Amino acid sequence: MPTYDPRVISRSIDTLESEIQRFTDISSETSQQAGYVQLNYRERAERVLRWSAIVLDRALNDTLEVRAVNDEVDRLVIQCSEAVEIAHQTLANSEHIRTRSIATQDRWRVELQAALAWEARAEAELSSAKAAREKAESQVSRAMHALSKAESALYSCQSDSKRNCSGHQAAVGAARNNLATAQIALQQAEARVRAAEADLALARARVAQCRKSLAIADVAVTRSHQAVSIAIDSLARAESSLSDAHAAQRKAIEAQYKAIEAEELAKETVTRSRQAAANVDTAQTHLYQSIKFNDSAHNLAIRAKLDLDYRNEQLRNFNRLSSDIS
Amino acid sequence: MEDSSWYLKQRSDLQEALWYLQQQSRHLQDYRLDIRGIWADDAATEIDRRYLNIHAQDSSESARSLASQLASIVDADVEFDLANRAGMKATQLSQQIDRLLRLARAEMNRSLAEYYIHQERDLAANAAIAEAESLISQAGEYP
Repeated sequence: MPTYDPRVISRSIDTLESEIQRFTDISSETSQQAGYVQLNYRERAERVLRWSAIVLDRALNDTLEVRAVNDEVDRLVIQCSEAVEIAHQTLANSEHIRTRSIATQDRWRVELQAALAWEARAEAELSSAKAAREKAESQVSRAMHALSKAESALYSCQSDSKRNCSGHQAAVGAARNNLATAQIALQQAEARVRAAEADLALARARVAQCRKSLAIADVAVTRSHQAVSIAIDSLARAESSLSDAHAAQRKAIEAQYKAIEAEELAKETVTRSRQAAANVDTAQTHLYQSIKFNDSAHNLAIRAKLDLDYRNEQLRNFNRLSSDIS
Repeated sequence: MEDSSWYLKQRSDLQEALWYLQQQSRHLQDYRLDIRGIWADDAATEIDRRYLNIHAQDSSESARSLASQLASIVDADVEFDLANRAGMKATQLSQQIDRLLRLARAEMNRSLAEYYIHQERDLAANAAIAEAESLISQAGEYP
């Protein structure tokens, strides 16, 4: 059986108590530290959960907004495509009306030239007819003078009963025939003048009509040119509008892809945050376990210390008694 | 969203503290073994049986639970990090979406402005066409 020195045992018990106390202090500090860490992670988990809910809410709102913009831009693209078609049709119509107005103008220009030529011809004819009438009038005048002269000669001859007047008689007859012929020619000349005057009036009326129609056709050409010019601008605007709408559509589609990705990521954020919170909950359970065992160990340490103190006190008393005996 | 380094530092400090606690626990148990060569009477046996053996078990369980808490916190950190990355990326995408939608709306506004000018021009062109049509009729298309 071993022999124990009470003093050595007492020192060992003192050291053991110190070690136990030291361990208790460290375990308490560690437990407090673990509690502090746990508290911070609990707050962190709550904060991250709130944040992830905000992220998800924003992503869902983004998705709705992107969908609305896509719907709007799709409608705009259709509207602008129709506008381009309408603008093409308007341009075709304006080009068609321009062609027709130019054709009308050309036709009236040709008609005016023809009418002017007709008028010139009519004027020439009238001049010619008037000249012929003057000539006919002169011939009538000369025939009348010749008849008067022949009749005078016949009267002079007939006043002398001895004279043979058959020659004069024949001359008067001839003069009367000439006058009749001249008068017929005059009537024909006058009729020609009236016809020429009527034709000239018709030609002038035609010229006036052609001038008026040509003037209207000129305005029609001007307006149809303007129509083409405006229609070209209209088409350019419609195409520009469609181009801008397509650009908007490309951006909206890009936004849509990003919104899909963002929503998936936001859902992952929520899932991960919940998993993190669950892990923090599990950590909390382990901490409670640790505290429970630590508290138990702490109580045992207190009770052990009381027993060790008692034992140490007995050893000291025993040692004192031994010293007194020796 | 957050700076995780502060939490990682806390976690690291706790790991260190746990390591130190385990060291200290081993040291205590080693010392208990050491003094058995000096003090091994009935009283020592009784104190070991009633207190110190259970104390060693509870301390060990406590440390093990702390280690489990730390392991769960490590798992949580992984999830926090993944959540943070996903959330940050989602936030960045949201900003990009906002910018794209603003650009899209600006393009739509430009498109609508051009569309309204087109409508006004189309009306004017059709009015000019109608007027030209009327003038052609007045002039007489086929003289």
